[in-house]
Amino acid sequence: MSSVEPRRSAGTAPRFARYLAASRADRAPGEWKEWCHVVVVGTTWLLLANISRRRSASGTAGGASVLIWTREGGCTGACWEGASRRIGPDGLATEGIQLAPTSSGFHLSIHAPRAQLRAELELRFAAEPLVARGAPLGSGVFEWMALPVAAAHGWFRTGHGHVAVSGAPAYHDQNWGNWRWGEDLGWQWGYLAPIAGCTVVLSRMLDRRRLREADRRLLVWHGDTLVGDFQGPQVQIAARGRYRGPPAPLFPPSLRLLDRGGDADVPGQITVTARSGADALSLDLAITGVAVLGVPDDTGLDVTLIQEATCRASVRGELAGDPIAGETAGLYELVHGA
Amino acid sequence: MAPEVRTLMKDALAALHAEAPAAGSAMAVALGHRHVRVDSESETFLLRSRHAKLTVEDDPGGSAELTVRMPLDAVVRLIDGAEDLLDAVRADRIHVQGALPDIVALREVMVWFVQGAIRSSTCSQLAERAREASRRHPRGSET
Repeated sequence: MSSVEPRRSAGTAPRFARYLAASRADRAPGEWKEWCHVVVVGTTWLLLANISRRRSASGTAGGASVLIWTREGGCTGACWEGASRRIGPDGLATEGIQLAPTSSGFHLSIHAPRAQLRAELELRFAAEPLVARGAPLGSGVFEWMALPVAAAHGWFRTGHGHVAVSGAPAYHDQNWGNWRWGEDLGWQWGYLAPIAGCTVVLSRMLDRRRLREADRRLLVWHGDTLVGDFQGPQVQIAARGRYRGPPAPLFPPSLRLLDRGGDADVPGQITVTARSGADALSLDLAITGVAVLGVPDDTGLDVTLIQEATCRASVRGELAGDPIAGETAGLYELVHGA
Repeated sequence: MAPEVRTLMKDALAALHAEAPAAGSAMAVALGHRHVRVDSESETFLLRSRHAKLTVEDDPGGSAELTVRMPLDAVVRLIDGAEDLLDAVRADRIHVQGALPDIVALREVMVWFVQGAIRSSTCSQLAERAREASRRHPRGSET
């Protein structure tokens, strides 16, 4: 990633909107993609929503997916492919999902009757966005804006029951650029819900074979303040074993017909250690569930698999003289080749 | 009753050739000269490759290299990931008959069909039509 710009002043939503509007105003003609992600973490559940919009020679189209893991029902999901529309400068909607800007953040609506999923969630942001400008990704460029400190309020319903959501930790990011699915690119990304007031985001930009790494970063917020920014060799990541849980559901489900093997290619455990001066952090992630999203490649007739893994995490360390220790939950996303 | 399955197949192929032409061409190449007789919900038709496109045609009743019997509800279960193709074949919910090289070619056609369908917004609407049609047919009506 070429540069990261945390913005710490108050008044998140209006500045955020202005930033994105300005950023998109100068976008290059030709192929274009935008992806919006929302992660909300409860004590016994996790919700992930993706909404995307893309422009190519054949026109503009969109896609969306929602995955909800619950203790009772495992992973339930739905996905859509079709038209998309913009809502204001930052919002997107497709069939089934709408992410609409509000004065304090976003309102997320999900309506997937066939999967028995509904949700109405208000996302309120407490910190300024963090922006990574112009990072190369394959032959294209990728820009990333993250709002990692948010709280969700509202409710969701699955076939296993209704869940009230009150102040659940939430994360939102938006990616945009002209990268091409199927090129020599990959990444790993993780979000951990706050532990002792600290929110953790991990990102790695890789090639498909995970042999070359362009960027590695571990970011820590305490409340709305970015207190840790570990980069490159300051961050060590080790994966152990292989996730051996229930078969990962595939979205769209018809991808099962491609018979690419039933097991997700996800490690069972991931250990991350970060050190910079007196600051140090250690994360032990245990993968608890996996679902796989397939995205059609731009480079040929294949799919790129985005593996979404829920995890439990043990965190310990010290930042700016303050100790951090405890257990939390989060999401780890892996994109790589076979 | 209108030929629902045949119309669905025809519409799906048209959408796929229009919205994912590379997948459409790959299907046609994979099928080659073969004829596939499809038998579903009391409808019978032929699938064949013409001018680099897969087409749905009347079945004149002659020989076909491949015969596929597939009730609509079994197809919908595959589309929705509720069942693996191998399990459906083992349980005789989907019946495929032909020489091994022809069956291998048909599997390749199916792979390109799936790759095309996930690139086509019309195909996801057609999948919903297939679900509705499947609910109108009693399960296992052909077995």
